[in-house]
Amino acid sequence: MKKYIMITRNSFMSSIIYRFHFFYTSLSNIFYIIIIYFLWKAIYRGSGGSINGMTFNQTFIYLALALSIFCLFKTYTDWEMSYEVVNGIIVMDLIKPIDIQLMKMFGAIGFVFYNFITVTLPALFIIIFIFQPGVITVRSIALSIIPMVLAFFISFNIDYVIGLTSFYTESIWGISIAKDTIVLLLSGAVIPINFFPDILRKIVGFLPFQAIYHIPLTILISKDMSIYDYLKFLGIQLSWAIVLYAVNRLYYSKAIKVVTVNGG
Amino acid sequence: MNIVKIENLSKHFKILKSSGGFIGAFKDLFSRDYKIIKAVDNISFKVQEGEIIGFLGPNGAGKSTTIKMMSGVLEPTSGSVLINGYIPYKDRRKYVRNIGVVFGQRTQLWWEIPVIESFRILKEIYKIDPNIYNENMKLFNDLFNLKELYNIPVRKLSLGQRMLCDIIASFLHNPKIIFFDEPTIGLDVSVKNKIQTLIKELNKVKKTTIILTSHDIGSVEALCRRLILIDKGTLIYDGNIQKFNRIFGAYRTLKVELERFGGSSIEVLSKTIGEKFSCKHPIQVREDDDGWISLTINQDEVKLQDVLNYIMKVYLIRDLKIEEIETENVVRKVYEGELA
Amino acid sequence: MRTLLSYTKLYALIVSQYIKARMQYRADFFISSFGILLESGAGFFSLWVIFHSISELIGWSFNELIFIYAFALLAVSPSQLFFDNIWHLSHHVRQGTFIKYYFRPLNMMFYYLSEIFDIKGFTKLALGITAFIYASFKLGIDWTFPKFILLLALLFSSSLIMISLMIMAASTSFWTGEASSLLMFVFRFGEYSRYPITIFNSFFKLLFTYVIPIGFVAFYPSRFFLRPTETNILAYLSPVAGILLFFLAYLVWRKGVNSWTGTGS
Repeated sequence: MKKYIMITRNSFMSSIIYRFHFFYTSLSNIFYIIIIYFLWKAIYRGSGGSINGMTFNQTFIYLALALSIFCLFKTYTDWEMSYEVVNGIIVMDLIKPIDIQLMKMFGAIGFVFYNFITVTLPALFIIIFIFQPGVITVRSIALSIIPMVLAFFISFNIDYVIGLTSFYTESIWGISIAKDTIVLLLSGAVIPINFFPDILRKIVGFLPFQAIYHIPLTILISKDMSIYDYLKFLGIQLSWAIVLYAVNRLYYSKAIKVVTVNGG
Repeated sequence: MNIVKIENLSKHFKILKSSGGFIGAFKDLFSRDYKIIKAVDNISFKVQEGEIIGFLGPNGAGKSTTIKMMSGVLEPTSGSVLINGYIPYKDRRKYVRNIGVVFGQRTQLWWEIPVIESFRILKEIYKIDPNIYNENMKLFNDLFNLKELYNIPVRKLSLGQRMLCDIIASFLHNPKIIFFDEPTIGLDVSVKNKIQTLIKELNKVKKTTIILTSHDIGSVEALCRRLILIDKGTLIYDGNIQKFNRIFGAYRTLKVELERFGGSSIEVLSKTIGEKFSCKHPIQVREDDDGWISLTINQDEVKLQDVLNYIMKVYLIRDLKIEEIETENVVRKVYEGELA
Repeated sequence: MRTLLSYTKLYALIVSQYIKARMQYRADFFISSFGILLESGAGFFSLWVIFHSISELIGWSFNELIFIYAFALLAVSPSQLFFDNIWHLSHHVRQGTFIKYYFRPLNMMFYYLSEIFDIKGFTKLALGITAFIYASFKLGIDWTFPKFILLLALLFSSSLIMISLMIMAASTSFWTGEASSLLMFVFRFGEYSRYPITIFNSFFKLLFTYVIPIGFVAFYPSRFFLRPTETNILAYLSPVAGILLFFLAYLVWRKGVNSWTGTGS
């Protein structure tokens, strides 16, 4: 177990050294918030307060929260693995007596933990104290912990699938960009799912992406969620978590046979 | 004719002071603490046209910084650099027209495309006269038949093949001076020989001045008549390679892995060796990171065999190696005034 | 002094070889193009979803917004096609491999950027052209010859703005060694440029017009064609903004190149 903790710590440390990365990313996030604030204000103008069951405040908080937790679910594991395959370094991972999937996951946890402390926590504070005290209750935060963990797990596994694909195709640029776009759009992170036309809502219900953003976010901003709804959400997440994990184990055993190493 | 004139050249850098550890890393996000490093401190030398000189020095010595100032990448803090009538960093584009640069570790050619296409692009970049281009290509082919490589993309070449192509590419536009940075790194002996021959021949034919930076003493010996040694930013040796050879040629490093040898006994061993084999240049005894003991022996004074016999009598030897002296040790010796 | 013609000839030579070599990676090209298509198309998807619930955005119709977004895509395509290597600058700077660009008798920025020609950019261009034609048709815009020339000029200056901002952002890596997140930040602005600047309050309106001029990337030029009766001095300022910004970007680049010390000692 200790070796996995070490991987997490190393990942955490190397994140700190990029001093400017922190500054630029914060700047980028601030501008994003500004843009969506004005954009949605414009969308709600002349609407009479509520669209698709959500007020401007609810939509804005929802999207602001989506940004706060975005950095928790974007793991870059797919890029890391593709880079290692292209440069032949993947061999180093393969010869270690550590399960690769676990290794990558703990690396991702370290990276994400850094983001949690530097981005998510401050963002949550700002949202709670400046914008809308009361929109997020202690109860909803407590309830959202497990969904967040499950969401991370699901997101990580999706990234890991793409990473494994690099064993076949080496470069995964297009696939990764496609994945990122699809995840963001169909998970409700860019536009709340409430806004989706009915057919789309139905389709999205069959995909794992809403389990990453929509579910934890809904739980976070709900005032009094019934046990039934909560368990339903958890059930959906758990199912996807298990399915994706199983897919990865299977995929890995196939993909490992195909690894060609570059360089020479 | 002096093609290179370097006078009182210095280069100072401002480096951010970095604190260690966890908390330190956080602090550094907001730190403004700098210190000044004198990478190159008051170096002067001249080079005649057509010379091949070797540039040596340990890592961190200021070698690369000097070369960067000579090639126009860095502006000196003080002093002057005059090469081929140009001040490198001032008239970069004009200056660079007449120089070549070859890196051992990365190619200057276009990675994905066939070698010959890279040459054609160079022909366009340097506006090489077609006659000169053809002449040179013929010359290269006469020296080494590399025609079979020409249609292969650079990325598919082996390291040795790539180096050869990079080298002839650097001569293509008939530069006056070429900088070679570690051209033989990671190569086997036969390729190294080819490269050395290539450089020597082209230098003979074209009278190109060559500045060779290398950790490979063998290559330096084969190509250079003159050596410049840099350490800690200063020039500590500038002269004939023969003199230099006489010093390190005689040196060998004996490395032994001893059975049951605690760290404390290194002083004991050093003392006893010193007493047993007293000579003008005392034998240096050191413990390496991997637990092996290195003894640096000047064979002109002490027979390596005698030292080995002695050690075998007192200790149990698990394994041993005999190596030529490393550049770092040579430099240290020179620094300590061995050549005086 | 090398002439523009000479540089063009050289660029054609290098890029034609590069494309020839890259065509070997067929699968990669199609997958990447698909990725770009999806990424660029996401904007249209978002607009479609939003307009499912509203009929106009502060006075701008769905088709007008498509027009502006298409204009933005057209404006960023050149930067993708010709200036894609800018994304790798911080890597080359950190690894020291950037040093090779000092050693040829060429303008360094030209040499550096000539290394990569991103064919995938054509996908973005195609999407942009399609959407632009669709929106123009739906809005009944009459494209006379002078109007078309003006369009090209405005597209040119808009692309200069994006390119300049990206070059400035990437050049910071000469000092800080890291610029990917800043570059991403600037690139995002290309995305934000598709919204009408009128959604912002006066402070941000000024900010996005005169300080971080994303308004000039798509909105102000588009408004000239969409609302020709409104006063559009700002549209005429676009070329000025573009050229000025490019000069500034080049200066920053030069400063960076002159102060970079490389790796190793």
